[in-house]
Amino acid sequence: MNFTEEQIQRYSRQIVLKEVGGKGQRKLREAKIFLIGAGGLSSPAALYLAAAGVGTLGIIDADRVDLSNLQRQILHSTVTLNRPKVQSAKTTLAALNADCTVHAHEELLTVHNVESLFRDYDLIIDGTDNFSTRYLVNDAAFFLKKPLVTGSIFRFEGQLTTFFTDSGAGPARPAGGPCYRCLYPEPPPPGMIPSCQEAGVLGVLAGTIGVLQAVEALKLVLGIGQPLTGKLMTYDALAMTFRTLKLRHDPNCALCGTAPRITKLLDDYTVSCTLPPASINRTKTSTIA
Amino acid sequence: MTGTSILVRIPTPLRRLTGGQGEVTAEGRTVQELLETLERQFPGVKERLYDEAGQLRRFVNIYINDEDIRFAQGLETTLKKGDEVSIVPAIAGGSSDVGARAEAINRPPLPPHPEPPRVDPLASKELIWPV
Repeated sequence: MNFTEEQIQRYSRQIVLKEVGGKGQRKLREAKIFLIGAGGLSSPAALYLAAAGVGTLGIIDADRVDLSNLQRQILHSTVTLNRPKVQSAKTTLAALNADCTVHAHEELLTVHNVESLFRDYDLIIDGTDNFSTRYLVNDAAFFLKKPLVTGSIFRFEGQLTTFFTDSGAGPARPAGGPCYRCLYPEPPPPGMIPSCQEAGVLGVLAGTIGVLQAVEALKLVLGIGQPLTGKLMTYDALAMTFRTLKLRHDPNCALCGTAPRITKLLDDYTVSCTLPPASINRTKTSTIA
Repeated sequence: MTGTSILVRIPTPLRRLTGGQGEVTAEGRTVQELLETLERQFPGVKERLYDEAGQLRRFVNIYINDEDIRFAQGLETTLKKGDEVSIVPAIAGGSSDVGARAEAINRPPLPPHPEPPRVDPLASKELIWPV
């Protein structure tokens, strides 16, 4: 199907880029991207992906819009207070670009639904606020061979990286690449690090990192540029510095190492996040709080 | 200590210990020595970085320039003049209470819109990684 005159006009500023062109614009229209959460990071990411003409976005979130969200969650507004976030997001995105079909999942992401939700999408964008979900999303994306663009923020600081597993359908896909468990084998024990809710976060920081997640996603769909695979980007808003650190594949990784100990989704992601007992070489960290 | 003076980047959660400084200098021939020096300069740093077994906590990575010391000689990795060390803990902040709260992640779907947990901000003062 060709683009209408109106669509060509809408996307003209990027179609004119030789790296995009009509061919790239069609790739965007065919792309299906799943966003975990309709919050701080997903807001700017979803807005730019919809604006760019991505054909299908899936968003999962079980919450309703709260006044304290509006400092950073720009998909929502005073008008949509108390409405389910995914409905608020869908309304905002539809107003921005009706070319983008939004599938709104008003539910929690769990070990029971994660794989069926991810299966229909080409790429996953993770911006969750807790470690349990990060490890769940990492493992599910790995098993389903879905590229995963992951971002996180804390007060004035952000982290961003892109994970791949090799082979599988979807957008451009360099072979190999480490996973989140290679980066951080285990999460902090519960209560050891305060959440954003407790610690606070500069709202615009969510914008910076969320927009960079959208950049990664668009590059992957278009098959252009260098993705952040094998690299961890860190951003310090106060110093205004970006740094890129090496993120190596860990041959001992419990998930993607040479002798994986996690071969399917775990039953329990509240602790899971920690490894099966036999694999723990170090003394288990206890909560000191 | 006879080590060289090394620039160390302090992550946001530890800056309370360094008087808000994001970058400090410390001496050490190895990462281990460097962290010992840091502890003397800024008491409390070590407790945040090491577990009870004296190992680096598994949610904290230390980089010399852009290289993760786990893929070098760990805490024994030697430092040379001009090296820069970054301490990079895992952070999980993002969307608010998105799809899966820790207590619900393993369960079948819950009724919609449960009340978000109310967190006492003062409770974080007791955390090992306070802010």
